[in-house]
This record gives sequence, C-alpha cells and structure tokens, in this order.
Amino acid sequence: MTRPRQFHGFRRMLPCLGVALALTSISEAGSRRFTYSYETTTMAKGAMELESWVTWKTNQADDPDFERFDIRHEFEYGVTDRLQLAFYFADWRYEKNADEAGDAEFHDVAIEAIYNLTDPNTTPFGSALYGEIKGSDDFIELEAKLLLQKNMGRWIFVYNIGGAIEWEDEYTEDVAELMQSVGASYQINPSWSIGAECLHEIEVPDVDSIGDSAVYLGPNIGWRSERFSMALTGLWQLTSLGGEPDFQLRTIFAVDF
Amino acid sequence: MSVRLDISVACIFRRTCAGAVVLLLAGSCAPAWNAPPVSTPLMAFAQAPVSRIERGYQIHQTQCAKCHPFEDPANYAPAELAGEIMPVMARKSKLDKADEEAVLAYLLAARRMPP
Repeated sequence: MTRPRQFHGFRRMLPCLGVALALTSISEAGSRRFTYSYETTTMAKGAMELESWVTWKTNQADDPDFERFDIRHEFEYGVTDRLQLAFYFADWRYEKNADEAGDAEFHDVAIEAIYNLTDPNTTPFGSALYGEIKGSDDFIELEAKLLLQKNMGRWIFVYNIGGAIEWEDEYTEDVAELMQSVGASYQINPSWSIGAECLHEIEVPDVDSIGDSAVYLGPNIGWRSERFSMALTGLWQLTSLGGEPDFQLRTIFAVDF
Repeated sequence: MSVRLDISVACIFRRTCAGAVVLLLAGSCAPAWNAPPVSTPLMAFAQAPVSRIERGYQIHQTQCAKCHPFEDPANYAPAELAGEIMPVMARKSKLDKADEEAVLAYLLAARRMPP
C-alpha cells in the first residue's frame, strides 16, 4: 500500500513545519506569497533578507521509497529599488529510493538577479527580468525568465515564463527545460494570504524537439510578520509523467534584517 | 509536442481557467482597496502641505505597495500608526525620516476620508 507511506513521510515533515511556524509566530515579515513563482517587485534599496527553502518530493507511482529534499540557503540584497541580487550559498540535496539508502550531498551555489521593469502598482502590469547562474564542480546552469504581475486590490496574479540550459557530467552533456507558472494569491489580512499555483515544466532534449511535460497544481499559503515570513505550496502532478515527482511541497522561511 | 494531458486533467484545467475568469470579474467589481489618490476631498482632512501629502502617496505606491495592498488607516488609531506601524514599515522599506513622515501625513489624512 503506497498511500500510508506518503503520509508517513508527510508526518515526518510536520514537526519541522511546526517548529518553523512556532519560530515565525515569535515575532512579526518578508513578502513572499508564492514559492514556485516570482513576483515582479523587488526589495527596497539596502534591504537584506535570509531565506531557507525546503522542497520535499515524492513519487509514489514509480517508487514508493523515493523521497528527496532540496534545501537552499539564500541571501537577498536590494542593490537599487529596481535591482535585486541573491546568492544561494548552499544548495543541499537529500535523496533516497528503493535502491539506495538516504544520502545528503552538497549540490551547487548560484547567483540570481531580478530587474524590475514596470511597477504593478503604478502601471497596468508589473514586469521584471530574472536571470540565474548556478553551478558546482561538474555542472553549470543558466536560467532566464520573464515575470509578469497584475495587482487587483487584495488579489495578486503572477505569470512566469522562461527556460534553463544545463551542462552536466563535467560540462559534457547539455539538457534544457522550458517552464511556465501561474499563481494567484488573496491577502486576507496584513499577515495571511492564500492562493494557488500551477507549474508547467517541459523537457527539451535538443534544440529541434520538445519532450514530455509535467503540470502541477496546488494551493499556497503565506504568512508574514515584522521580521519573519513563511510561504508554503503543495503541488500535485496532474499529468502522468513517469520519473517526475507526483507530489512536491515547498516551504520558504525568511528573515529580514 | 507531447503534452500528455488526459481528459480529466483537461477538465480540471478548463475549470481552473473558468474559476480564474470568475475571480478576475469578481475582483474587478469588488470594492477598491487601492490607496485614495491626493484630491481636494482628501486634502480637506490633511494637516500637512499638499507637497508632503503627495510625496506620502507616491512613496506608498512605489514602496509600501510592493509588499502589501492598501490597508485602510481608519482601522488604526493615529497613535498606533505613528508610534508602532510606521516605524516598523519605514525600517523594512528603508525610508528616511522625511519620507516616513510624509507617508504618515498621507495616511492620517486618508483615515479621515469617508469610506
């Protein structure tokens, strides 16, 4: 029976989430509402933030024993009111499956930039450009996205579209991926927001063909206070693409200073 | 392009899109939560020069609204706005004292506007 295993895994996550929630309720926040999509607004000039990401992935259909945690520690800095830089100083990965016991390993470091083009609060649509360079001793990845945003009172809608190309196995193999995501979030009060996100990832085996794609959909919730914030999204795969997670949960905890 | 959506998924997507359209329409008709622009009625309640009120409105739109929609200042006491909320928000948005006071002056005028 596979479902109880999934819940066992989820139950193991609950204490961690409880601790994170307890920590966030000690004080008051950042500004993330989404965890798979980016907003077009950037940090104020001189503002700094430390973020910890945890993404949990399972694939009950292919391998009930598969479980992966992607852990990221990120430092963000507002260079100007329109340009924001981020440094992922440690991306870690823990993975186990039917064949291998769990093992944690350092994966990469990265640098990311978001440049705001138009402000969603003063123009009909917000827009921004996103760029990221990620790498380790045997791979390098370049990623670019266009970010769009529409604000309607307490509603925020975002749409991201972009792609990434990666040279792996000591830079000998190249793989690419296209992605788009859409998100909606409603701010209930100054502290809480709820919404949904949809993620569409498309494999690109080579420049002439488009490969399989996976679509994920699920709810999100955001919480913020004076210094701390947390966002959480659970995504279920709507397609039946093997080899990809059938459920993933991402939480981002942030502290600004 | 091999997008492997089965019927039920396509159905979910149609419903999601329909839901998004309904929400957009509802959002369009919902009461505005946007910050009231500087106007003659608002200036009637202002206790600061129009230049400072306009500056406060501009900062609200370009800095405060990055993180949150307009929060009706009528829900907060003037002392709470001045002593608790604005200092915290100014620190987060890296506002200097003059800009913080401009936003506060704008909010104090806006909070007296009839809904």
